Amino acid sequence: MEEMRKDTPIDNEKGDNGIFLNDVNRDLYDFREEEREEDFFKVDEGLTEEIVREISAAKHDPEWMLDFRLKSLKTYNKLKVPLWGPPIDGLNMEKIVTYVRPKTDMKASWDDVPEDIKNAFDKLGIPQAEKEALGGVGAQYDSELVYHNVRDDVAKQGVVYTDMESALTGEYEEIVRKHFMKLVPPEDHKFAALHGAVWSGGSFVYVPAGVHVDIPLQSYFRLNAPGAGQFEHTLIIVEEEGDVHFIEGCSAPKYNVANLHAGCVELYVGKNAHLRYSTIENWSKNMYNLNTKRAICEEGGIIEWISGSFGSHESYLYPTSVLKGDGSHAEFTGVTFAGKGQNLDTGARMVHIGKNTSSFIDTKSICKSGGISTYRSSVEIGKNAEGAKASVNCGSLMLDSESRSDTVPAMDIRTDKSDVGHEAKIGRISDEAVFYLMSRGVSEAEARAMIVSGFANPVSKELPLEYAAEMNNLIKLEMEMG
Amino acid sequence: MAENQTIKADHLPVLTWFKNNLNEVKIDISGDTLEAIKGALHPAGLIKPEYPEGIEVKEGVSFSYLEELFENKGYRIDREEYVAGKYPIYQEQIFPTGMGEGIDDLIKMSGVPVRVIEVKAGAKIDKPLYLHYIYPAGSEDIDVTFIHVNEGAELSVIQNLDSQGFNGKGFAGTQTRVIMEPYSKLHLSKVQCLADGFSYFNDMGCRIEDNAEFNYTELAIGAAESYLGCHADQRGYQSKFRADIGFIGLQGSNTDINYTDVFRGKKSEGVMRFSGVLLEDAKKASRETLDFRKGCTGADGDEEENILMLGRNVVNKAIPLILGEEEKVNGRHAATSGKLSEEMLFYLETRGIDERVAREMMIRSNINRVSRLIPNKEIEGFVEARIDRIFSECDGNCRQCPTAH
Repeated sequence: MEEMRKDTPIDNEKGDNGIFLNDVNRDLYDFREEEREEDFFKVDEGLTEEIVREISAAKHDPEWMLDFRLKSLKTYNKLKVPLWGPPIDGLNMEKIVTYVRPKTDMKASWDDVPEDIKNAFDKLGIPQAEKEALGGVGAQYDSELVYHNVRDDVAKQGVVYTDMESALTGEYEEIVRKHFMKLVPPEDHKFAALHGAVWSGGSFVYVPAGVHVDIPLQSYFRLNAPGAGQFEHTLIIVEEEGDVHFIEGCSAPKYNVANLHAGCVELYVGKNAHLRYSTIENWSKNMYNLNTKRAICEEGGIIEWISGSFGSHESYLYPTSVLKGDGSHAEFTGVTFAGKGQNLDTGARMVHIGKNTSSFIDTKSICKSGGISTYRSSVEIGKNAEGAKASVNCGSLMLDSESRSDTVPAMDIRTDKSDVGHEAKIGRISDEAVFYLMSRGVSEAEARAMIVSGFANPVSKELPLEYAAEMNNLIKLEMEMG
Repeated sequence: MAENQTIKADHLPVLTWFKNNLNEVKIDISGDTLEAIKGALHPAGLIKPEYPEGIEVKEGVSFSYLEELFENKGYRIDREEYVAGKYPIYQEQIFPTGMGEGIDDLIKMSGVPVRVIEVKAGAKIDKPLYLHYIYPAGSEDIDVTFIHVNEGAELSVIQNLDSQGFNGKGFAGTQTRVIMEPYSKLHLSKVQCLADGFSYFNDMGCRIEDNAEFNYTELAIGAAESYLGCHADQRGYQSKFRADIGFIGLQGSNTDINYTDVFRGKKSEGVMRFSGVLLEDAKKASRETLDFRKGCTGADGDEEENILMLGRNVVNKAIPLILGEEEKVNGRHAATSGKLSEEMLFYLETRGIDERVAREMMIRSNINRVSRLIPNKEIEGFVEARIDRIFSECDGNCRQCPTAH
């Protein structure tokens, strides 16, 4: 099997050295701040026990976390690379730097953040967004958070929004210990184990019972160092009747060496609580995005995933919702845009355990200029999940015949007292629609972009205005490229 | 004494998560069964058919001859063309079938000969060719047929495997390959009414050339284990493929399905409709793929699955794939799975139809949608007898019984 995979040609543009190259202009996200060696601490390339110990020491981990990391490393070494998804033979772990830390502490004011790093986030509009529309912001640069702040009125409600390291070593250590990688155990897959071994950065959010956070919290992840990996961990606990909207954004400049993102998101949604988790992923196109996200809902709990996947060279991303409590509900709304040189394997997994649970998946995949998009999902209805209802709707739009679009949705139903519906469609932009718009004075390129934006509308309409605008800009940018 | 064999079959054209257990199925075949098939005088269970004019039949053709024939005709396709997209697969065949290479190996291992049916160019044969196999309890056989429908010919073929009883174990398999030359038409019906303890496989492969039309009807309403595979290769311009599949998963049974429709020809059209009923603790896994290859501009594929689940412990797995490497196509898939609608039951009860009768009606309508497509009244009788038995043997504790609620 390995042999077959190795000699299977991949339609990605590669340079002579086999490294992925992309010459598309994406200045908005692809700018880079040159990192001076003296401003950063980093471990050697590769993954060894010494490196894991070095990371743990640098982060002042408690003893149990060092043990956890070492155990995860052993698991990583035992597990095999997945065979079912996009080939990741271009990712050489021996060349990945798993920890790069700017020589600065985390700040609570943008003015205190080193100038070059602040400039990067300024260009991405993060401080401005914080002022205008956010209840709290965390900004991670390479492996560590450099800025974290939460609005007073939000903090006064008892909401905790801090970086993972502070939570781990401070008063929330026991909560972290109780929840950390319990939803996504390192044994789950090879890159979950990798995350367990070298994780760094990320956010901890705790919403007390009955508290509604009216404005979203946001974390932004920037990976600036070439050949580096980012392994942030996000842990959100929303207690009974709590309500919060969390937004994550990510980007990186492009390099001609592979970068790796293997983050992990664990979401605990309490009884009758509500959590919306929105992501606009725009990693650069040399990134291997092997991210794991999982939520568990107690009785009456609701998890909503909003996901826009635009960046990365290759992606494996399937947020999972475990509907444990009776009457719990999950929704996944996602759009994936695969352009030149991209192979994006995205989707969702719904696991119904409690009675009268419900889930809804609505995804749109777009591919263009040789991009490959795969929608992959699994809806699992357990034997005791009586009264479960699940609906899956996935649409694919191919913008040319150089590209490829696949849908691979699995269903596993183990009770007759359930209703499951699935619908999938693949097609192209209708000539009639383009003609109609052109007859109203719109150029063909604009008409096609408008139709694609309309196709992705189910996702953008779920986002706050600023992010919907960003997503539409990304679609426009992708449409102009190639 | 032959060794026990485990065959890997029904491969998904692209791999997915191994935890779904849908990438392939393993079939165990005992050494005794292999010996029995090797030692049988083939065709073992076939009642001598009446072959109409316009058909030439050769019995006893070796499988290797068939492979050479396909090779000489230039049917072997490059791996790049064979593999869906850029993903790895397990195996390749010169002439792909739904269940895959493992069945070819089994046929070669057991030395079963091939029946070659040649339908002459332009022959329009009105009366269906009826191939009736009787496999009573204890039978163990594999039957292999190659049908070549020459240009402009038209024909209907029915293959019916029947145990003439409901009880007993056995093993029965069929493999059929079909070549549809330009402007030809074929309606092939395959019916399985085997006893409850049988293991059964039906492996199908077809190649459909320009303007040819292939209608395929498959009904599986008996057996403890049923493996159903079909690979349609729509090479031809405006070629048409339609498959209607009906099955009943009996108590304790296992049904495994792998249907793939590959669109290569411009303006090719394909439709697949699956209707199934799962009783008690029946298990079913289905893989249904619409695979649009580069160049099949204007192709249209439609696939639908409706499963009625009537048991507390049923397991219903499905993975309906749409694979696309051509922009100018339309592909649709829809699936529903669940119990009988309470609204429907209520409506029927208000019209004086009690719950038990209403449930029986729903099961019959699900299967009759397929059985009525088969041009043979005898088959309808088999189907009715099977459904009658389900209800007559019901002890009042199964899900379809209103008393159980």
